[in-house]
Amino acid sequence: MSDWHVDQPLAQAYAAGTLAVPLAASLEAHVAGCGRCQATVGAAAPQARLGAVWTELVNRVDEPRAGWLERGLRRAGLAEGDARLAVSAPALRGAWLLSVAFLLTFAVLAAQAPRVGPDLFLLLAPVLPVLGVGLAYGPWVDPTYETTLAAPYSSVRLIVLRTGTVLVFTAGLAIVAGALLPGQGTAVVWLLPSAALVAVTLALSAWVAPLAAALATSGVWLFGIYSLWLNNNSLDTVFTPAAQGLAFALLAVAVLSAVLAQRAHAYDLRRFM
Amino acid sequence: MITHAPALRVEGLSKSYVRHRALDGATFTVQGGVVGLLGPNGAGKTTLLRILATVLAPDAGDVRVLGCDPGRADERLELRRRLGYLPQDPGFQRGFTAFEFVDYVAILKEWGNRRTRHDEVRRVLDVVDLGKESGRRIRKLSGGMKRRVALAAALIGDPALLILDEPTVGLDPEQRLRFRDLLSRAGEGRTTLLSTHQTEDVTAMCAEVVVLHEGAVRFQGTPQSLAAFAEGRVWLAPDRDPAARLAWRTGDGQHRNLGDPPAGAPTLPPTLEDGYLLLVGAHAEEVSA
Repeated sequence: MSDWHVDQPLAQAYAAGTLAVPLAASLEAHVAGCGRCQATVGAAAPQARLGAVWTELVNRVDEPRAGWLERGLRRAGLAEGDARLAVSAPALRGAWLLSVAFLLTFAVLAAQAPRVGPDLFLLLAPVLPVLGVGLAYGPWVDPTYETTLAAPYSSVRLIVLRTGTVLVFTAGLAIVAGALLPGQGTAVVWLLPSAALVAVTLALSAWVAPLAAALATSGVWLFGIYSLWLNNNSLDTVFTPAAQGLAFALLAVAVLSAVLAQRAHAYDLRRFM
Repeated sequence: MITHAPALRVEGLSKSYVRHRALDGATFTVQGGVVGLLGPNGAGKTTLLRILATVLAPDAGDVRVLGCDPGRADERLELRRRLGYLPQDPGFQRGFTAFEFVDYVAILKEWGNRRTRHDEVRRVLDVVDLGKESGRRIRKLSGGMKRRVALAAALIGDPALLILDEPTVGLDPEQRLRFRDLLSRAGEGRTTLLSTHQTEDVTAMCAEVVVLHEGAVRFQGTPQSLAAFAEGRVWLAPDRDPAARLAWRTGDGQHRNLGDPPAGAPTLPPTLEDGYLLLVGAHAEEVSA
C-alpha cells in the first residue's frame, strides 16, 4: 500500500469540485481503499451538499418506476398521479389476457370454421369490454376499495380512468379479432351495441357492484342474442340499421342515467358492502 | 367563551342489511383523544366505522364527524381530506412495494406534486418504523409489517381523525405490543377511534371506551369506570357458582365467577374484561355512563 495520503488542501479542492478530472479520478481510486483518506475527504465535504446528494440517491432508488403503459398515458396528457391510478386497475392484467385469448380463439376459428366464426364473434365481442369494465373497479375486485372510497379523490374520475384503460385493451383486440373473420363490417358492427352495454353497466354501477352490473348486462345480452339465433339461425337482424339505432338510443339513455347518478353523488358512497 | 364541537357526534344511527340489523339507534359523542370501540363480533363496530369513514351510507340517524355531515357531498369531501382510515382487512395492490402502496394512497388523498408527495410517503413510513423497508414487496412482509404499511397510508397528511378497524387483529403478542406503542404515538394530538374485541387493547391505549352490543351503545366512559361496573361482583370458588352469570376455569383450577356473589364470599378487584363481560354477556344489563 502507498504511503501517500490525501492532504487537507487536496481534499477541499476535491470537495469543491475544482480538481482536474484525471487527478480527481486518481484520488477516488485511492480513497476507495483507504480509510484514513475517506475520513479526510468526508470531513472536507460540505455536509449540506452531502445530505442533499444522499437524499436524492435514496429518492431515486425508492421511487416507483413507471411502466410502458404509464409512460404512454403520461405522454398522452394524463397527470403523473392519474396515470399511476389508471394502470393500477386490478383487472388490467386479466383484461389483457382475456383479450389475447379472445383474439387467438377467433384467429383459429377464422381458419378452421369460417361459417361459425362470425356469428360467435358477434355474440361474444360486445361482452368482452363489459366484463373488463366490471373488473376495473368495485368491492369484489379492488383490494383497496374501502381505502379508495374514504379518500377525497373523485370516484367517478377513477372509474373513467380505469374503464378507459381497460377498454383500450379489450375493444382494441376485439376489433383486431373481428378483422380476421370473413364478412363485411364484422370488425366494427358490434361496437355500438357494446358501447351501449358498457354505458348500461356504468349506469348500474351507481347502485350495485360493477362486476354484478357487468354480469347482469352480459347475461341479458347473451340470452337475447342466443334466443334470436335459435329462432332465425342468423344474427343478421341484430346489426340492421334499426337495431343499431336502438343500441344508440340505449347508449344515450344509459349515459344520461350515469350523468344523473354522478350529479346525485351516487358513485361516491356505498349503500351496501 | 370558546366552545369546541365534539370530534364525533352520533345520534340514533341505524343500518340494516338484507336479513340483519347491524346498527339499531346507536348514540354517542366523542370530544377527542384515543377512544376504544369495544364489542363482540357482529356488534356493528365495522358498520359504524364505515359510516364514520364516509364509506357507507346509514339508513337513519344523524352523524357529525369533525363538524361535517357525511351525508352532504361537499362536507363529505371536506371530511375525507381530514381523516385517515384503516379498514379491517386492508388490501394491497398486487406486486406493490410498501413505498408504492403508500404513494398510491397519497395520490388518492390528492397529493398531486410528486416531490412533496414522496417526502410525505417517506415521513409516514418513518413514523411506522418502515423507512428502511420501503422498497420491499408487501407480499413478502410479515402480518405486523403489513398492518404498519396500512397505518402509514392512513397517516398521510397528518389527519385530524384516525379511524382504525381492528388494527391489532391477527398479530402475535410481540407485534401487538409494538403496534399498540405505535398507535399510542400516532394518536397524539388527534382524535383516534379504534375498534377491537380485545379488552387489553383498550386498557393499553384508550382514555375512553364505547361498548357496542347488538347495534346499540351500552356504555361510554373511562376504562376504569367500565371495570368498576364489576366492582364487588367478581369472586373465586373451587367450582362454578350457580349464582354466577358468567364463570370460567382459571389456570390454577379455580373458577372465576361474575355476578352477584353469595353472602360472605371474598370478592376480587375487577378488571376491564370483568366489567365488559358482565355488560355484554349472556345476561347483559343496561347501564348509564
